[in-house]
Amino acid sequence: MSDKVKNEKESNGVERRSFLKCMAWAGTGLVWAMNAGVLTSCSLMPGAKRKGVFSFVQISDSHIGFNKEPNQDVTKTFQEAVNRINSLEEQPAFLIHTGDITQLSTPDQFDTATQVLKSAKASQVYYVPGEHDVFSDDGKIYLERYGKGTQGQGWQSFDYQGVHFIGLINVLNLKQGTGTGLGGSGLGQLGSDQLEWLEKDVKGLSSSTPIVVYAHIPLWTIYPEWGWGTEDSAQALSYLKRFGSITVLNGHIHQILQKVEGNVTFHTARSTAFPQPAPGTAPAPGPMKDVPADKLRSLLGLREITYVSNNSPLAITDSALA
Amino acid sequence: MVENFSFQPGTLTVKIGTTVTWVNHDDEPHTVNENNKTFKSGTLDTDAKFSYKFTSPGTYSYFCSLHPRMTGQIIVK
Repeated sequence: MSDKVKNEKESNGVERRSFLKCMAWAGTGLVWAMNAGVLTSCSLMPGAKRKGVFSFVQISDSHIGFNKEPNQDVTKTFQEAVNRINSLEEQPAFLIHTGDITQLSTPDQFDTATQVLKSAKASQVYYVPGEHDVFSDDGKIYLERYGKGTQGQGWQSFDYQGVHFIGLINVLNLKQGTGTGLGGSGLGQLGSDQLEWLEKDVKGLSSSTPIVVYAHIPLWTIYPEWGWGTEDSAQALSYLKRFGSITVLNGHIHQILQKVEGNVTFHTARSTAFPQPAPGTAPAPGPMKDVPADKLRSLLGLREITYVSNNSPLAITDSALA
Repeated sequence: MVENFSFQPGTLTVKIGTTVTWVNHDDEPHTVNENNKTFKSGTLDTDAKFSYKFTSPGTYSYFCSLHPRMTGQIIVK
């Protein structure tokens, strides 16, 4: 069942480029190699962890509280995603939730989300909020629940085994779109305080430090008509330009899209609640309602990311719930 | 009316003293936030309503705080 991409190292130490194989994990997942670099196979690390190798999981858009078509029980599919995490060969070092934890940022929705995540076998969960988590009270309750260890309006960075992780908030202080001619873009925004913090945060790091940035709204412009982009992300990315490897993980659009731009690879993630239409294929970015019940789970999922510490890119495994 | 991620009609002209009611017909929640904070609806889930009585003339521009590309205008004469 677990036929994974193999890492081939020649005995003289030179790493050959692996042939990229797209394959199924439990019948549904895909392994993506970035930059055609060397991949590592999970099967090479049975049981004992190799030094410098770790994996973490990205989970997104659980929308606890949503109860309409095509998914009237998002808590159930969220729990299924967590069960999947718990059945992984290697326990992930931590989880990252890229936002829209809840649908309406109510206390009991946050409670339910926390409850489900308590059952996850991971030592820690890092969060960034989605607009659904902060819109009703400018993020007050979100920060109460998940603000510990964060700065400003909830951003933070942390290091894990030599990789520098940065959690950015781009869903607060959203300005109205251009319809009224009042100058807002209707896109996500980071704001000058956060940008200032970011610049300082990465200043002292060596350019060979692998960087992983996570934020809810995509940090590249996918489809401005639907607000799928971040107004001031270019400035953020300019502070990261000098680094050799930058991975950006986003949520918000409930589907997987990827883009490579120089040293930066961007990935958006599936939701665990409901899928959304591809850009421009529907009149609006609402939940795709006409998904047959037996197909729903193939459009929801989670992402496992493995890091090997020898200048190789991150190996990304996207798996669906069915 | 709030439908398909848009305010319908986009621009509405009313007389002073008129009460305008927004009703959300989408499966997604929306909000009605006036740009200068003159009025704020709070969360409007499906079929929820919000009403505001306009007692001063002028142009009121508003948007949805969840989906800021959704904008509308009420002109009060």
